[in-house]
Formats: sequence, structure tokens, C-alpha cells
Amino acid sequence: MTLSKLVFKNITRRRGRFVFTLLGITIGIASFVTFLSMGGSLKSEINRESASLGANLIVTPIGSCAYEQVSILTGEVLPANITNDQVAKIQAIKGLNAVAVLTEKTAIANKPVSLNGINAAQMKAFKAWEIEKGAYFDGEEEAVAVVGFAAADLFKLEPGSTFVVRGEKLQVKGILKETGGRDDLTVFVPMPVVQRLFETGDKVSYLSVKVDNLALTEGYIQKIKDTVNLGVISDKQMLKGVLSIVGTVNITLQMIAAVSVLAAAFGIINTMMTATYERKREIGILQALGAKQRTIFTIFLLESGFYGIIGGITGVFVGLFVSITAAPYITQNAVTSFVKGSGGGALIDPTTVFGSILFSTLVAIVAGVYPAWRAARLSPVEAISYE
Amino acid sequence: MKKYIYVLVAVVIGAAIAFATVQQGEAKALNVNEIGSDPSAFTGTITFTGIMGAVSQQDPTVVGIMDLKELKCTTPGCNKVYIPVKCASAVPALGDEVKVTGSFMKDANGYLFTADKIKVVRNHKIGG
Repeated sequence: MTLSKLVFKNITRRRGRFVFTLLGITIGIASFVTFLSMGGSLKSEINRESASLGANLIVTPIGSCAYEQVSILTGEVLPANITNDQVAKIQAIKGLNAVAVLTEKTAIANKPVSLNGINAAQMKAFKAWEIEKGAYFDGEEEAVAVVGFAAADLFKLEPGSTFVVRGEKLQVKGILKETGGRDDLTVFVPMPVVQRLFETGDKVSYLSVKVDNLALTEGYIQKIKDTVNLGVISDKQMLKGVLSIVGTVNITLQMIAAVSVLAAAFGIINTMMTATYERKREIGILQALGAKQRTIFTIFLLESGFYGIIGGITGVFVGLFVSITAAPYITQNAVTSFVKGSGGGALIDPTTVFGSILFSTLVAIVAGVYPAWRAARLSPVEAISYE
Repeated sequence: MKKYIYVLVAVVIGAAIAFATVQQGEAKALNVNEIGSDPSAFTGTITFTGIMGAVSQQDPTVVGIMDLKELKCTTPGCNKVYIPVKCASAVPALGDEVKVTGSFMKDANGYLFTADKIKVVRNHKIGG
């Protein structure tokens, strides 16, 4: 009988114990994977949205908190507090390319969709958008919409389709080519039309700014602050702020998951200790057949590691299943609601999958060291005379 | 006996997958910030979640529901949008996180959400 066969037979000999020990590690790893994959998905989604924003600086009303900065990335509604006059002053600063955005929400077929008021020509140049179908805006007063690629697909919109915003029918003029960012899920309408429909006067929500010289970013921030009394944040600062919020939530969740993995590790120790006592006679026979201490130690360690591998694999499957199922509930939670709308990214990350299986195996091996050492230290006389 | 255990396990796994599939579509209830800008765009019966944040001075059965996000945003620049909800049954308490089902009705002052069902999820202890 080979070592691997012996290990497998020993583990599955007591099926009930095997199943319950395995369940312990499965639940531990499943919770670990759930939190890790959801946290990872949020982080990558935030990074992607930040990159697709295409701005070096964001100008927001004074006093905007980090949660509102997240809203810029997730397409949530922001207060419209910046006047057209302030926009013009910022646009007049040399070395800057600034575009204003008014963020609103509407719904098509009872499904919410982000609606942004934009200055058509400026935004097209700023984002380098291309048209997939139909045409782009002809002027700034045209009461029509250009729809992001994914939104058009989701709501089955084509050029010529209509939908109602605040009681006014708008026609789809064109559909943008896929950008890979939030723009894909947004409906764009000329700024004056959105300001009229949503009664925001001459106000906008925020400005996206590109700077000519990145080395002078700090200088530009000061210049904007001096020109208009508004808050300015660089894309890096915003990303850092947002990720720190997500990171705090992630760490808390991972700590909880780590406790379950630790509890599962003690379950393995308990199982292996019992096995050591129960199989004293078998250990004695192995010693009588010439098995070295190292061989017995390896057998018990492999048994423990086997729990880790199997528990890791089942835990990863359960964890991914739970994370896909639970994701909508978690983004509705008060703590994490600020990231709602940023979901939908790939939850299955190969690093998480293989890392978790490896982690589970390592935890199980470490948990098995003491019982294996106890088994290997048994004297042949003590082992063989055990009844 | 073993056969029954296998059947039971298969049924449990099948039920879990079915539950997850069904819940995927239903789980995303709307939130206040999604419906607050354009209530006219929502027709028929909808469900949204939010926090009870105010009571009407004129009509105590009308409450203001704000977004869950407002619990975390404490700076003066925060955009607090309230959805006026007319409660047919018991009025939720201040800070109650609620799941409201009903529909929008237009009146002279704008849109009022008439609640058919209000489910209190938990209380968040706001305003002392």
C-alpha cells in the first residue's frame, strides 16, 4: 500500500468525523473567499472607474466628503452647487482642460439609469468618444440623448427610440462605442436641457479637469482654489480616499473570516489528536515493520494537509457561490451602500481561488504538526501494547 | 439509506441554486437616490429602501425617507433627498431602515409615495 492510499484510507475510515471536520474548514474558507472576492471586486471596479474618468483633477463643492467622491465614480446623484460662472472661470485658467458634469438619475422601464448633463462638444473632445450607431449632438440646446453602449443594450435602445425624463420625451440620437467604464451605463443629454428638466438653474455637479503638465498639478489645484472657492482633489487623492474606505470595510470582514479559519484549524487539531490516540496500535505495527519517526510524522501531516486541500477546494466553490448570491444584499447594507452601482465586475479572481486553497492547505498542515509530532514520538512498546 | 441521503443532498443543493438564481433578480431593491431625481419615471408598484429621517408637520402619516448613504455622510455638503411617503399603517420611527412597497401619486405639491407595505429592517439611532 502506498503512502497516499494509506492516508486516504485513514481519513475516510471514519466518515462522519471526516465530513464534519471538512465542513469546519469549508465554512472557514468559504467565508474567507466570500469577503476576499467581494472586496477584490470592489477594489478593481473602483480602480477601473477612476481610470475611465480620464481626469487628473476633480472640482467639487466645498465640504464634499469621501462618500460623495465615491459617487463620482459610481454615477450616483451629486448636489448641483457649482455655477456656470465658476465653470467659466476654471475653464479660463491656462494649462487646464475642464469639462462640467451635472449628475442626475432617471429610469427606463422602472430601472434606474444615470443621466449626465454635459457640454457636448467639450466632452466629446475630452473623452475621445466615438459613435457606434446614429450620430452625436449637433448643438448644446438639442433635446436628444446619446446613450452609453451598455445602457443601450440593457434598455434595448436604438437611434430613434424614445424615453421619458421628468415628463418630457427624449429621442436617442446616437449610441457611444464601448469605453469600458461608467460612461457605458450612462445616458448623456446636453447640459442646458438637463438643467431645465431637473430645475438646477445654471448649476452643475462637478468638473473633470485634465492638466497640461502633471508636474504642476499642485500649482493648478491652488490656482483653482484661489480663482473659485471650490474643493479640488487629484485623481490619486480621490482613489486613495475611496480605497481607504473600502479597505477598512475589507479588513474588518477579513478579520471575521480569519477567526472562522482559526476555529476550523482547531477542529483539525482535535480530529488528528483523536486519530493519534485511536491508531496507536497501527502506529506500533508500522514501527515494527520498520517505519521511521519521519514516515509516521509525514503520514499524519499528509492526512491533515488532505483536509486542507479538500476543504479549500469546497470552501472556494461555496465562497464564490455565496459572494455572487450575497453581493446585491451587501451593497444594500448601510456600511457598504456607497459602493452600490460599482458592482458587476468579475468576482472570480484566480489569485483568490488558488491563494485560498493554498492558505487552507497551509493552515491544515500547521494544525497537523502537533498531532503528527505526538504520533511520531510514540515508543514502539507503548504503541504496540495499546489495546 | 445512503440513496436517501444522496437525494436529500441533491435537493438541498438544487434548492440553494434555485433560491440564488431567483434572488439575484429580486435582491436589488431601489434606493432613495435612484428614485429621488425623477419619480415620474417610475410607474406601478416599486420597492425601495431608505432611512426614516423626517415627519411632515402637516400630516404625521407622511414621513421623509432618505438614502442609506446619508448615515455615513456627515458633512454639510451632503445631498439629502427625502422621498415623502404616505403610510397607510404604522408610521416607522426616526432612524428606522425601511423597505417600502407602493407607488408614486402626483398631487399639487409634486410626487407622494403611497406605501402599501412598510417593512422595518432595523433601527440606526439617528438624531440622539
